[in-house]
Amino acid sequence: MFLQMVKKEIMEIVRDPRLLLGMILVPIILLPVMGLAIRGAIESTAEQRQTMVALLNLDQGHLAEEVLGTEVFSTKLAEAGVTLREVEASNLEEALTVVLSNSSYSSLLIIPEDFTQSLLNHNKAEVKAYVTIRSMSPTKIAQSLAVEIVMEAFEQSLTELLLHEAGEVEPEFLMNPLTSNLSTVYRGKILEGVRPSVFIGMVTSQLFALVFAMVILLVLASQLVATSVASEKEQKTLETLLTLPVSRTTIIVGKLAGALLVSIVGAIGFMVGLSFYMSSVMYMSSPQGLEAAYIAAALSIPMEGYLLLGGSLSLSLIASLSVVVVLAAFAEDVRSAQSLLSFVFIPVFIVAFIASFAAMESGANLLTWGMLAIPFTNPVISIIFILNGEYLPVTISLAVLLVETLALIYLATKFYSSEKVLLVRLRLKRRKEG
Amino acid sequence: MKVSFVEEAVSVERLVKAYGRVVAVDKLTFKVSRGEVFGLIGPNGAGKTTTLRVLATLIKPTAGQVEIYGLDVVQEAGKVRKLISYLPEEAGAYNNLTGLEFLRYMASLSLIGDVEEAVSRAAELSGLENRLKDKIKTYSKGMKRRLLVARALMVRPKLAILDEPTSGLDVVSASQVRDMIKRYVAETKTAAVISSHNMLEVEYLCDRVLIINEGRSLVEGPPQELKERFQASNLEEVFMAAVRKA
Repeated sequence: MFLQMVKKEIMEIVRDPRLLLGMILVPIILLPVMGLAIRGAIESTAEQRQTMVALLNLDQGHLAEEVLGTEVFSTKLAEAGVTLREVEASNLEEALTVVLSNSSYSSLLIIPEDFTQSLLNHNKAEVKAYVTIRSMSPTKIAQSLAVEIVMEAFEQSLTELLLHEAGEVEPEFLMNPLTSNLSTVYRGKILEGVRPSVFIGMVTSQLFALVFAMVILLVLASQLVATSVASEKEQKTLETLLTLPVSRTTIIVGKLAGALLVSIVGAIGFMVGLSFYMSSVMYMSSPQGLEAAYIAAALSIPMEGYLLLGGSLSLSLIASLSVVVVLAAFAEDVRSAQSLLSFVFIPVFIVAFIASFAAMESGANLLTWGMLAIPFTNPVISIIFILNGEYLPVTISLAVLLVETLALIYLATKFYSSEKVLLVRLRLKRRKEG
Repeated sequence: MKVSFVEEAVSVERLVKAYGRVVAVDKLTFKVSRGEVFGLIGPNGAGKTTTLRVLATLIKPTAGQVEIYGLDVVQEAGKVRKLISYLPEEAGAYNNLTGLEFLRYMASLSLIGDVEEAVSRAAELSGLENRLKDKIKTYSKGMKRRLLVARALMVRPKLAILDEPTSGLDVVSASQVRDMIKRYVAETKTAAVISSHNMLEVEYLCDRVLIINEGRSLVEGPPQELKERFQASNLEEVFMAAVRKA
């Protein structure tokens, strides 16, 4: 008896094509595609792995010079693909200006004046580094973090040198003669004491949360519109509506506006919840409130950025919903409208994911321009550009998006003005009807 | 306005509607005068709904001419929509609205003068009284249909197009709906085209009927006259005889 029931359940589930798609095909296709996209992006920039680190050596003694000259140190740097180049500067500000004005430098390492003195007094010496984060590209981030390899190699070489030079010292001091102080430089702003790894973690998690929120908003609004259109068809209220002396544009725009308002309220709720979540996670991962505050300040988008993002999201919503209004009219009832949407959304998500990764990795290129031109993916790419401070591509894409949105509303109105809106379903049922 | 001088509410000339290769309506011709309830009768799949949809400006004729009060349903669809009111077969309503909200919404979209006046007219026609304050999803099938018929008539259309107005209703509700339609046309001297496969209902309600089968017209005339012509005791027998003859 029990086995029969289980058998029937399995049969019913397996014969549902949506399940087959959702549980089996999507993971099989989606995950490898995502993996390939990431690998492709990283491999394409592999040749540029050579990283340049700027050095400001202020040491008034001999130790720093000696360590830098050891063969062990230079071998390790060569292995890691790092070139260390001394900058001509007399103080930190000058050195930072040089590093910031030359994009081939990924970071700046500073050896202080009292370096030798401290070590000879058996005190730990402090080495500082400023890591510049120019984009959220994973390969660029990896290059920026090369300064940590330099610091490690420097410390190891120093330990070997001290073994010969210093007299009796504590093993603990000998193993770790340095304290390192890492800071982040983002968009020209110096975040003193903010470790780059923490900063990157915060930024990427916030970025993905934002992208996720936008995708949720698009899906939510589309579901609302699809349900509304399909239930009007199912209940035949659409048929009544189309015989009233109301223009088809009014019907379409009314539907879009209704769904838009409801989903904006939904999105606000979502964002409020998300910001609570983010702030609690932030305190967990970073006990120093100072770091969190610095990061929040660095990530803050200026007003024009918000305006662009808002424009992109609104236009993208309206354009996407115009497509959904037409698509949903093909469905016979609410249930089939929902399934139809899920079939459409899956490839859209794959494309959006690849596109956002491509935008992070390499900025404005053919793929990201293409993605900016698609209403569904425009905001996902736009937000990455806006966070990187690149406003021009977003502004241009908004003009394109506006034209597309108007064209899509026009096409949807045309579709609703024709008898197709009723006949798409009628054709399937014609033999049963009069 | 042009309408007041036209005595013919509906004029259908050799209407053809084809879906690909399948011809749903084939050279149908009929006229409906003011003050008349006209019935399109026939079995399922006869082409009744298709014909009504053409009258209601929802679908376009493949061939032929269709006019409502002298206005072409294709060229002047916008003007036609101001004169008609259409009730689809098995239509539903917005379930989360109350009866009153639904009537108000539909009246406001119909571009008639006083929305509240239309709503109170519908309230009276439907006889739903206090239940109009409840959500439509709590209504029985009969109540919903009465609400929808009242919705169609509240705007005082010059032509009411009602597809199977009593479908799925019990005897009492069906009789109430029939009375609503009959009273409306008699009082307003407008016109109504209804479709039905219930021939007994049509006999009671319609001044004139057109029997169609497989998209073609079989016979046309007042029910009494048809019964006499075919020496039948009811329209059902007329229909069977007409089909045999065809």
